[in-house]
Amino acid sequence: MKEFMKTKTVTYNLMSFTGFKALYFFSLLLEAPRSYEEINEAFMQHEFIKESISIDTFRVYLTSLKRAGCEIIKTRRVEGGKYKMLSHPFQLKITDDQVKSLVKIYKMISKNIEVDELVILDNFLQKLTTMLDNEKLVEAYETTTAFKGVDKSLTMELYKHCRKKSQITILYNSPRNGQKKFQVITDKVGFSNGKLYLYGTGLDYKQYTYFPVGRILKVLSVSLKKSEVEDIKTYKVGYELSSNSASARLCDEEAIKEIKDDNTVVVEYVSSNLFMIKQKILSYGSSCKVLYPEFVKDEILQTLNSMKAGYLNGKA
Amino acid sequence: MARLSEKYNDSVIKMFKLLTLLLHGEADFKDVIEIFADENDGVIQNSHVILNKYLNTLKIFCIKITKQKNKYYLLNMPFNVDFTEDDVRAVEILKASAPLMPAGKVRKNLLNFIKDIEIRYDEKARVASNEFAGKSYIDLSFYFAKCRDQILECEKFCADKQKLEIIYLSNGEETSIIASPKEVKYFNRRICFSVYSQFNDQLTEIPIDNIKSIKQLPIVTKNSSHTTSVVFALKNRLAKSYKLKDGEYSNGFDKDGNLIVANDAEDLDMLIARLMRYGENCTILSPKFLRDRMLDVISKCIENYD
Repeated sequence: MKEFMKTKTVTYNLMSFTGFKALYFFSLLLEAPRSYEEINEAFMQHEFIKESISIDTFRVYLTSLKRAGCEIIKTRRVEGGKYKMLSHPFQLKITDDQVKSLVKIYKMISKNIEVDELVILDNFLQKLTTMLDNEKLVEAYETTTAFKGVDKSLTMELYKHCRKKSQITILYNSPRNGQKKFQVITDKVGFSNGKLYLYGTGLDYKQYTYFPVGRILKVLSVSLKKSEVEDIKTYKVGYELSSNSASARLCDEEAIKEIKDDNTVVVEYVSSNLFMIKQKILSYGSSCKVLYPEFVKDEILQTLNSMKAGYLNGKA
Repeated sequence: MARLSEKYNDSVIKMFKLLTLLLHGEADFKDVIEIFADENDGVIQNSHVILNKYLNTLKIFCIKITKQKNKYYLLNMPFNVDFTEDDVRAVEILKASAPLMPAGKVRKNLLNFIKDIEIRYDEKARVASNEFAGKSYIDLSFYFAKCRDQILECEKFCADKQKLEIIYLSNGEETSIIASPKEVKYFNRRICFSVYSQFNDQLTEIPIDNIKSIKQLPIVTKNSSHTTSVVFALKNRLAKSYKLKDGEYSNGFDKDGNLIVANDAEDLDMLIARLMRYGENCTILSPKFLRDRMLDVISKCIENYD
């Protein structure tokens, strides 16, 4: 062995020279489709092998590789008449059970990792779908991906802007008004009800707002200097909530102000977007009661009465 | 005499058999040596010498193999897959989150697949893997701080596929349900046990920390389950901008311009909470019991302000 390594001359007693040549033959076909002439040339040029291969021996190697589990075809003459490896025993494969496990873990962690990590994970799974040629994996990926209808590179671009809290101008495809430009001081990219949103302070309406990422066409520009946004009106809304609902469902903008003895908590939601606050209050259902300010209490009550009327009048 | 096209070389077959065996990650010495036993009488006297020749061959081909306690381990593959640094990071994320799964078949399947990937790393990916190892921060503390045992128990129920009698807290009141286990669902800071009740064709997602007790019944669950379809109408701007979610479909707008949506995949309590957000822009059309339940929730909300 030492002698082999030193002189690069094959000592047949210490290794299987045929096995070595077979591995080399296999690796050549793995790289690209090859003709007999190309393989013969490669054998002669190899620093250890340094000898030609007859066409008969070449065929024996081909048959041996096929028997070992390789699928090799000869391409048509117009395609060069080369030998092409379609599959082999060392290919990365995934079983149906492994697909299930992969999907399960993706679902588990997609809500708990940063968006940039989720993009990386999703890209990897997408790569596996093209690499592994497994229909179940393709189907599972298509139904599970968190980025259905969303451009992942745009998501990453928005995420990076959010990290820097950049002020950007986006081109947004509004369902009502068509394409429209918006200026936003970016805050975060995150999921709500399974949909991906860009959150930030919208300078057009001077309030904290959110845009479905699927409707953002592109980032048109990034402002070098952030605009002063002093005149943004902020709302502080307080409400009583059963503590059972509170611990699990509070968002970043909600803070527990008081824990009461009767299993309820007082929560305060501070935001410039009253619409978001009202939506959150309504989602809590009957376990929530608005305490202040009075006008929000009135608006919520008005909405509830209007919802009730809709049901009682039997209208859609 | 075999025709030339049928002739093959036994060394090639043995070499590939050895590699295929090693590819499983670890191989028992007795299985490895068997490859090199005499074909006619199975004698393995000289097989050790032959095996060494083959191992030397693999070594020269830069395939690293190590032997520990009568087992051979393949450390790398000569035929690598082009994995980028981001791919390696994705693998590290998967590895770091594996403890979320119960110790059993599901986790083992994932770890085996990760092993299959890692063995195909090239040098660049291997360096990246060493660099990223243990650095992927996935906060599992919320799940494991108080729910680990419940998670594992529910995962086991899912695997057993037997009907369950579950007692849990719903709106502060103890509720009982007989249902088939579906899956454990992970939300942001919340874990639910998703079960299907054939009694009312409903999926229920029970927050795992609201479960008081679970009793396994001696009845195997059926694979097929048909959930209740909930049909609701969306109005005004929402009708135009609404994006259908998983398990939802729509045949379009009614004569008043309302978008009619059917949903058959969401837990009804969660669906009600979501539809409440839409305020007067949403009305449940069917089934009647859910329309009534929604009306009841709205009425109770109003009563809060009496």
